[in-house]
This record gives sequence, C-alpha cells and structure tokens, in this order.
Amino acid sequence: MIEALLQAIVSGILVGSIYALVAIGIVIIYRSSGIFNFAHGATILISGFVFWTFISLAQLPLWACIALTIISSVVIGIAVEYLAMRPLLGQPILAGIMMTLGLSMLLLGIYQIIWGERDIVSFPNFMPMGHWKIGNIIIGQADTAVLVAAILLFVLFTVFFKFTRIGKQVQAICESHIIAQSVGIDVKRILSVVWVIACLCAAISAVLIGAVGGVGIYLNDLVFMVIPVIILGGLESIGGAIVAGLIVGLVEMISATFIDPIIGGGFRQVAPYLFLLIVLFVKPYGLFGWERIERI
Amino acid sequence: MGLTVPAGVRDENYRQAIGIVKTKTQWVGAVIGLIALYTLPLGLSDYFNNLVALICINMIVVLGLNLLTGYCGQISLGQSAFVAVGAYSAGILYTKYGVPFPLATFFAVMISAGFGIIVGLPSVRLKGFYLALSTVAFQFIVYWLLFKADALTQGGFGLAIPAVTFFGITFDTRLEVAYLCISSVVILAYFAKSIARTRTGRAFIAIRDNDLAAEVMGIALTRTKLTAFVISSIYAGIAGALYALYFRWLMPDLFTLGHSVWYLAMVIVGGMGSLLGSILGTVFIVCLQEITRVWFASLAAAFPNVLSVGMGTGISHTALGLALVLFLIFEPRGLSHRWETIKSTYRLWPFSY
Repeated sequence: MIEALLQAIVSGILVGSIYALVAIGIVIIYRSSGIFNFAHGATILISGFVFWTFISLAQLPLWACIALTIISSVVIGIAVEYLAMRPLLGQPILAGIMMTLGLSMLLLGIYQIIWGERDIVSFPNFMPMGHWKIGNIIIGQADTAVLVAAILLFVLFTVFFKFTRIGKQVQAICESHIIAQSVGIDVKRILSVVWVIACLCAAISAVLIGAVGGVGIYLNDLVFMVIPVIILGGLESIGGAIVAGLIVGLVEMISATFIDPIIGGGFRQVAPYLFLLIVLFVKPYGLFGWERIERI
Repeated sequence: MGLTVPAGVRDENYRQAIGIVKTKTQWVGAVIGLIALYTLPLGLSDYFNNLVALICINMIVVLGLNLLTGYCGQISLGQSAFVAVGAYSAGILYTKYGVPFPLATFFAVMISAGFGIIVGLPSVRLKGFYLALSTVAFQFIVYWLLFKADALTQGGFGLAIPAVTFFGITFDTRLEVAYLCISSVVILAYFAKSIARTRTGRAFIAIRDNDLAAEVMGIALTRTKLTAFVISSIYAGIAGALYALYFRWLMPDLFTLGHSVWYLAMVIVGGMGSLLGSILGTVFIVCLQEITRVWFASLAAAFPNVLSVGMGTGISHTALGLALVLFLIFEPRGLSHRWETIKSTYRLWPFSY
C-alpha cells in the first residue's frame, strides 16, 4: 500500500513535469499577450516529428537534429506571430481563442499532410533510457531529464525576466501594451520575441517528451491536458506552472492508483478536470495568478 | 435596427414600433422567404435534405450560443456537451423507457437546462477566459461520462434509436426530418430574436459590454448570466433531441470538444451579437465542412496511390483551419457585418456616405 502510494507519487511527479514543461510555453505567451495558445500542442507535434525525421530517417548527428528542430520551430513561431496574431492586436479575447484553435487545426492538418496517419514512433536512443530502482520504486531516467529541464527552464526564464533588457520589456508589456508602447517599448517586436521563445520551449518539450513516450498525435492533445495545470498555477506564473504541473500529475497518478480499481478504470482522464473545477470554485485565479482589480 | 429603416417610414403606434417585420417590402420578403424555405426540400434529393437538416440542427445550437456568447459575452467551449445531454436524454427516454418523443424532448430540454445552471454557476465568480476553461472541463467530463455510463448510453458502441413517430407521422425519410428541422429553426429563431429585444436581452448586452457597470445600473448579474446559460442550453437540448431523431445512432464521438469549437466558429464567422450572423455563419461553415469532406473524397478517389487517408484528413483540417484563420484576419466582425455594409452601400449609392 505504502509502496503503491510512493510509486504513484514518483510517477505523478514525473508525469507532472511533462505537464509543467508544456505549460511553461503557454504561460509565457499568455502573460505577455493575454492569448491562450491552443496551437502550442500542434507546434510540439510538428517539432517532434521534424526531430524524428532528421534523427531516424535522415540519421543526422544529434546536434544537427536539435539545431534544425529549433530552426523549424522558430520559423513557425515567427510566421504565426507575424501573419496571424499581429492583426488580432486589440481584438476581443474570443477572437484570440478562435485564432489559436484555428491555427492548431491548420498545423495539425499540415502535420497530417506531411507525415500522414501514424502510430506513436519513438526516437533512437540518444539519452540514458534506463531506470533507477529504489526498493521496488522505479524512476525513469528520461523522465527525470524532463523534470530537470522544466526546473532549468524556470531558472533560466526567471533570470531572463529579471536581469536582461528584453526580459524586462516583456515584463512591462505584461502590465499594459498601451503604457509599454508609450514609454518607448516596441511592443510588436517584443511579442515576436515572446512567440519565438514559446516555440523554442515547444521544441525542447517535443524532444524531451518524445524521448520519454515517443511522438504521436497525442502531443496535440497535451494542450488540453495542461489546462488544469495552468489554471491551478495561475495563468501568468511560470513558477506556478511547475508547482501546479507536479500537483496535477500527483492528483492524476494517485487517483489512477486508488480510484480506478473502485470504478473500473479510466478515471485518470477526468481527474484533472474535476480537480480543475474545484480549483476554479475555491481559488479562481490559481495559486500564483494575478488577480486584476477592475475599475469602471 | 431603427437606423436601417428606409426614409419616410414612421411608426404610428406601439405595435408598429416593436414589430420585427416593419414595412410592406419586409412582409412580402418574409412570406416569400418562408414559402421558398418550405417548398425547397420537395425539390431536393435525399443528400441535400440531409444537409439541410444538419444545417438546421447546427443553427439551433448556434442561435442559443450566440445569445450566450455574442449577446451576454460568456464564452462557452462546452456547447456540444449540452447537445449530448439533450440527445442522450431524449434518446434514452424514448428508446429504453418508451416515453413519447415530444415528452422525451421536453424532459431532455429540462435536463439540459439543469446542466446549464450547473455550468453557469462558475460564471458568477469567473470571467472571460477562466470561464471558457471551466466549460472545457465540463465538456471533457460529459464526454467521459458518455463512455462510462454505458448501461444507459451503450458507451462507444452507440445508442440505436428506432424511427420516431409522433402526431401520426413517422420521421423515417429525410424529407420529413428536414421539414421538422426547418420548422424548429423558424420558431426558435423567432424566439431568439424576441429574447434579444426584451429587457433580459438588453441586460445581456449590458453585461457583455461591462458587467460591473451593468450591475451598478441595477441588473441582477447572477440571475441574468444564469438565464443566458439556461437559454443556450435549452436551445442545445432541443438541437440534441433533433440530433437523436436525425442520426438515430448516437455515439460519444458526435459530441467532442471539436464540435464545440466549430459551434463557436460559426458564431464568430457569422458575427457576434447578430442572429442573422448565426444563420449565415452556420450555413457557411457546415457547407465548408461538407465541401472539404466531399472534395477530399473525390481527391482520394482520383489519386489513390498518392494520397493516404491521413493526408486526406490533413487536407480537410488544413482547409478548415485556414478558412477560420483568414476569416478572423480579414473579417473579424463576421458575415453579418459584411451584409450590413452591402445593404448600406446599396442604399447610399452612388454616394459613399
């Protein structure tokens, strides 16, 4: 019993770190432009398959594959920002939601045209794929790499936002686009920087998550699976995304271990959403979100 | 509305002032339009009657959703879950408990409205995006329940519904179904238009524009928001019952998040806060979906060696996504706005204003 609980906790943290990694990319865009990027999952999907194509089919060296994946995701980021998101500045939030949903469908379609219907494919080994065993508890090494990457990204972004000029400008446009513009910040340029950063996150997530579980169309649905994470952590907080990712992962794995046997399986899929509803009722702006005060 | 009435037309009493159809030309147009609408299915093949019924069912959902999202400003990404609740309630009551279909529809609508209240409750505390996400959660939970409660819903196998008979008519041909759907749309569109003009409808608009200001002006915020959710879920419930009658084989995969997204897309493409827009948007999107589907089928048949099934779905996904993206970039205010511009250009021609 204790062992099952411990294993659930460990797997929960590892699953949660995947959620955290995906959530970071979405949070970065939300906090600077107020748009929830539903197309993030499709970006991860495409980056993952670009990486897979280069490393498995073209068999290029690892560094070249990573570089090409990063380049392709940066291209996607710039194209999306410049062609689709820029005309939407100042439109109601629903337009932003629909735009990213439309983009996710578009990118999904492009993926299907290029790579067709595929089952999950996995990368050849380029990372340690073994397990550590502590007692009977199994800890995957690749999964741990995801956790480490999520934490590293968090540290990196914290430093970036606190100490660099562009990072501080991003912080400023989070407050208000209009005010930032009026103190001389080039809001459009900063927004494209932000989209590029988010797409870089997508590329990193694609490579690491692909190493853990293979790449397949499920990557596209990750964006809906991290919704509970992002709400719990607060839509604007990167640290929140990590903490909440781990919590939601725990909730998922613990409910999978202890509630599934009672109701006969499958509860794992909805547990995060039920948890989300509870969070929304108790603490609507999440653990670290900004509660904006409204004035008329 | 008042501004678009032609010069020289004056309202002489309250009946005229509150009339939906004001001038003789509009009356003639309305009567001719209705006659055309009702003779149309007679001349169409089964395939097109099927499409007409599908458009009408979608239109009912979208009319309700437009009242909620376009008028009241509450985003719902869980509308197809309401449709599912309506469809499965009507289907189960009719098939398993032998309830007459009109009564089953009534109960289905009541159940759907009950869910509307439950889903609407977070709107008391949540706004905008957070509310949209809570409706996504509702969508996933209902979808999961459809699989899980397989004693009632038959899960992924699907719930078969025998041809529905009521008032002495058996709805087993496409023609009858199309007539039923058209009649429902006409009645419900009239209701929607009427709701939009009442005190409640105006309160919706006030809440959309600024809910704090609306509350200060004496609008009961909670009650009005819940009313909007209930109305839209009633529309979805009716559409659901028609779905059961139309498809006669209910599967959880007919009620996914993707369907909810498309309902919202229809609202946006038509134009938020315009009921004419709901009608135009639904026709546009459903036809687009149908065309991409048919187009791909013919493409795959033409090049069986080049195109795989996956690529086909890819092409239709790309086309639909691209259409939505282009629409948001070039016509963010929707088809109804374009229609208004055409009308005013025609009225003012040859002057620009």
